[in-house]
Amino acid sequence: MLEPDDKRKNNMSKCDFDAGGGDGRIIVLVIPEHDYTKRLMGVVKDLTNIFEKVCYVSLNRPYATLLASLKKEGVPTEKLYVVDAITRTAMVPQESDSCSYVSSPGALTELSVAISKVMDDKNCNGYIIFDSLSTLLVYESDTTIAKFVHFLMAKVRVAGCNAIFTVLKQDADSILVKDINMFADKVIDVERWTFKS
Amino acid sequence: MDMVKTGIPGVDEMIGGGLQRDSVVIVSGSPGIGKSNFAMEYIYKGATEYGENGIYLTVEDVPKNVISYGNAFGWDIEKEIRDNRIAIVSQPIYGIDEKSKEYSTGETLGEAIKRVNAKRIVLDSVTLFKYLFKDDMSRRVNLLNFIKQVKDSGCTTLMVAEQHESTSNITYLDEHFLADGMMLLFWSRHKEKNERCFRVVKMRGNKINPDIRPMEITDKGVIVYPTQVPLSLTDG
Repeated sequence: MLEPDDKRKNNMSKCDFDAGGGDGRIIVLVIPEHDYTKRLMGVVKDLTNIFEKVCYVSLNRPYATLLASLKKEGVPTEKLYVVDAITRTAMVPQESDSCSYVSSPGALTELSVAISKVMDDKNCNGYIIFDSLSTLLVYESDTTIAKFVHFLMAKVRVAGCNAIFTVLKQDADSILVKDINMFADKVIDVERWTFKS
Repeated sequence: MDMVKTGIPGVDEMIGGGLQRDSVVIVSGSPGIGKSNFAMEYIYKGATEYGENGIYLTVEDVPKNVISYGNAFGWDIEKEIRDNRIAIVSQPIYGIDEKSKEYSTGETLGEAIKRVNAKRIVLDSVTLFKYLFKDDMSRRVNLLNFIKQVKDSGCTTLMVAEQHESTSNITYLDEHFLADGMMLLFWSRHKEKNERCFRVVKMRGNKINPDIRPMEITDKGVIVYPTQVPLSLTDG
């Protein structure tokens, strides 16, 4: 869990996330490699405590694995809707009411369509967590990703949704992240947060 | 303005509200892109959602196959045929032999229009239809006659056409100039990904969205996404 404000060094609080719903806030979350998963799970847990609906866009872990990990961390997974861009690279998944599958992390149009559908159909006025920009860098050039993210951010704002784009600390100085920082409302380096164990 | 809704999600927004009534519009595209599905959806939605009966005129396929293509999307074409809302007219062009007679439904287009009181027609495909005629002049004359016939019948027509080029390099053919409108379906390749794309080339009398948009064939039919961009076309 995140510590109360007074323990933080960077004015972090749940207010960073709590945009009141429908505010179109966009955050880039810089997470250190060594405990990326732990930190991200903490963020997901916090968001699901604040918001009724959270959409998790996974470019790293298949839906089944992700769900198991989140449950283990005590995340109320019934509040989650997942866009999974991994499973279909390896197998044909079973349809699910709480997950849509995209053919691969590099299928940017499909990703955009799937995320837009979540914003339209699932009435997601909470948060979208995009995990992660660093993974996209494996598949696409900085320019293509920057255009994709800019396009997606516009859709998020128009829909009155909020979004978090995660990036590994090692990529924080990339041209892409510098460009995207300009589009975002806030860049948060979670290493400056203190966490309860 | 009296517009004919295609009923295909996203398409009517792209073409300025719908097709002009009695117009003839080309649906042109690469092999395997979904032209016939697109055209059948226009006929099926017309019959089931807009009270406009339709005819699917095929010169390259047999009714059984056309019906099965629709079934794949959950469209009960056979029921619509039984209820006289859809007619499939099959006039195969591959030689006047016993086999092609067997595949022919025997009914002419004019007879079918009257029988089902059709308001919509699909010709699949105009590319093969032209092979019915020996030289360029007779092809053009017969194509003009066909267009005149369907316009006079009060039907709004989609003509399916093969197009091998990409969007930036189209070879315009007779039918493109003769038709009132043209929609282009094409593949966009980016690395290992191939994406279906949609573009309105022209639509007389309509304010169109001329930009390229992604298209998808889902288990319920064709969808065009007017508010998405095909990111496979992004440079970089």
